[in-house]
Amino acid sequence: MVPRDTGEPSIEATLLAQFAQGAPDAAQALTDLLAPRILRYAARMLGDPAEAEDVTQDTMLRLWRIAPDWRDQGVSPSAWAFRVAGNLCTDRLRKRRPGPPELPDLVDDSPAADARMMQAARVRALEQALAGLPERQRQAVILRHLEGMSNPQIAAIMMLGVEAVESLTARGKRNLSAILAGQRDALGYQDDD
Amino acid sequence: MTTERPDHSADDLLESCFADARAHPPQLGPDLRARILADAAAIQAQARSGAASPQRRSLRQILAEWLTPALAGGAVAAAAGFWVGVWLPMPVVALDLPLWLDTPLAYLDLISLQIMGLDDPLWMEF
Repeated sequence: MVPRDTGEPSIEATLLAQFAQGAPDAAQALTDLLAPRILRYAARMLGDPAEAEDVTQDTMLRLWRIAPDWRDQGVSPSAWAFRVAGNLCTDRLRKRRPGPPELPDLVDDSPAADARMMQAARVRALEQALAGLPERQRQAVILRHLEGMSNPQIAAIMMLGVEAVESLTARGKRNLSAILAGQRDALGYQDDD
Repeated sequence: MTTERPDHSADDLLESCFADARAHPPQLGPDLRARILADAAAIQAQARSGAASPQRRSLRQILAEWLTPALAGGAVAAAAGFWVGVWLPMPVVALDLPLWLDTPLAYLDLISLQIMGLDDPLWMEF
């Protein structure tokens, strides 16, 4: 699932070349390989499912368009697509009106709340906490901890050095912890003290 | 100086949130998948129609091949006409002068003689 940086053409690059030659199956395979990941990334960056769908479709459209001219320049098609999606998300985030940061919803902490509700509450709380992070930290944390990419892969997508990625991820995690700290009880985590 | 103890409960909560989010990711719906594939099909069709229109392309080539020399010839003729108009070595009236005045140098002589009042030094009255 995670793109590999090897010297050989990746399966994505091969599929992209086949797509450019007119193979209809290549489009389906590439869509199934990349679109779900782009959608997850965009949804977590934007916190808006409809906008995430638009970004995903736009990213894939750009991939189809570049296919005939694709040259392997050390960036895999998936890294390229994540980069494009990240830029599209950034554009949309910047167009949004600045407003007060959203506060996480209060979670139902009644004893009757079952594990699934608690799980959903944690997912929702994380999404809201992510929305409170600076954009680059959010990007790095999502790619590292939710998409499971390596730091060099994230560095290629974000066009940064590996150390900068490590720093962004660490700061992002610290900020997320701070945002979530006030909800430990509500999210099923009792304080140790 | 105090040393800060790492807050394991905060880390655990965050890791737990990450795990839950990974376990419940946003899903690619069939509608979006269909839209993406429709875009792909349209791009492929566009590429096919572009590649499969040699007639249109060759027509363009034929027109280019025919028009280019014609336009080039016209441009050269226009330039030559302009050049002749600007740099005509003698006025048109000089064309019916006697044969011994048929060179630019001879015409220059004629003009200089006229200026000097010696336009007909031999009284030949032509």
